[in-house]
Amino acid sequence: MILLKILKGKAELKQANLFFIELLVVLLFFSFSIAVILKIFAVADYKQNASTLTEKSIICAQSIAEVFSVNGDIADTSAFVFGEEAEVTDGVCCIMLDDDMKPSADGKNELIMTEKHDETSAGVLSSLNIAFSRNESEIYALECYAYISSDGGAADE
Amino acid sequence: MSNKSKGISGRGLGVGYVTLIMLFAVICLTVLSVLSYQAARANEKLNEKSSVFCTEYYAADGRAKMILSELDNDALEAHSSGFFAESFAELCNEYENISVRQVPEGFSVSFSEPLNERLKLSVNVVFYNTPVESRYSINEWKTISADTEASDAPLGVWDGSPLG
Repeated sequence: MILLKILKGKAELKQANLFFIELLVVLLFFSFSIAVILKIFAVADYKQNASTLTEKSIICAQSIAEVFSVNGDIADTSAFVFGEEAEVTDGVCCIMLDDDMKPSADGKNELIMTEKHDETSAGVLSSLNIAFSRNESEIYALECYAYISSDGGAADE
Repeated sequence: MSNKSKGISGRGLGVGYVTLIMLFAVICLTVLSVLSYQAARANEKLNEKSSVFCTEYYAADGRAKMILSELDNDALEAHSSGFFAESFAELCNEYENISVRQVPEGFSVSFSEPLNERLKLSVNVVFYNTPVESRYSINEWKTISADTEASDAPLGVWDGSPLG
């Protein structure tokens, strides 16, 4: 009777040992696979954030280009698009934007607009170079033009 | 009756259950992570195409505006000469890829700038003999298919007439 009890105890102990060994192996395999899976999630999140920022930059650049093509002036364009007139120095304007492409002194995105004018007797052909950058790496750049005739007509009517 | 004859196992979970649960969790998480990555990658590709198209459009738009500024300059020159029709027609002959047609109010000038392989920017401007508010007005400034043969070909839609 006592021998039977001892044998039963030994079998249960064997089963418990097997269970813990299996648990250890499973945890090891799980930790390796979770490390890889989390890396994939992190890369996907980074790509999604980057493409969202690019998309917003493209939309903002298009808005600026469309307004500029009508008025041909960088100060008026920034006042219309951003609601505040930006400082222009030698045809260059720099605005800090937040992640929603709205002007913000603490914004991490930089918008640099460079304007050039080519005046003729018939009118003024202006070009505007729009460049979005973040942490000194370019997100999106666009060059657009505006032609304002001397009789007051704009090329985009 | 003993536990063995009843078929009851020992204390706790049996061997293998934890492995199965872990395998299931890893498979679910792997599928989820791969799908997330694919969605982000697809969005990135779409944005790349969008940015390329936007750049191409504004490049063609800029070239078209340069041509318009040159034509406007020619129109001003033609007006100042006193003989607008002859002067303007002569000046327009210097351009290679524009078509000029005389209309009652002046001259209708058409030209196009290629955007990419499939699209082009089509422009039609009328320059007035006697400018009132402006020397010109823009009738058309739009993107059209570059394949004009396909756009001119009829679709062959049945109009309801009896067959045969």
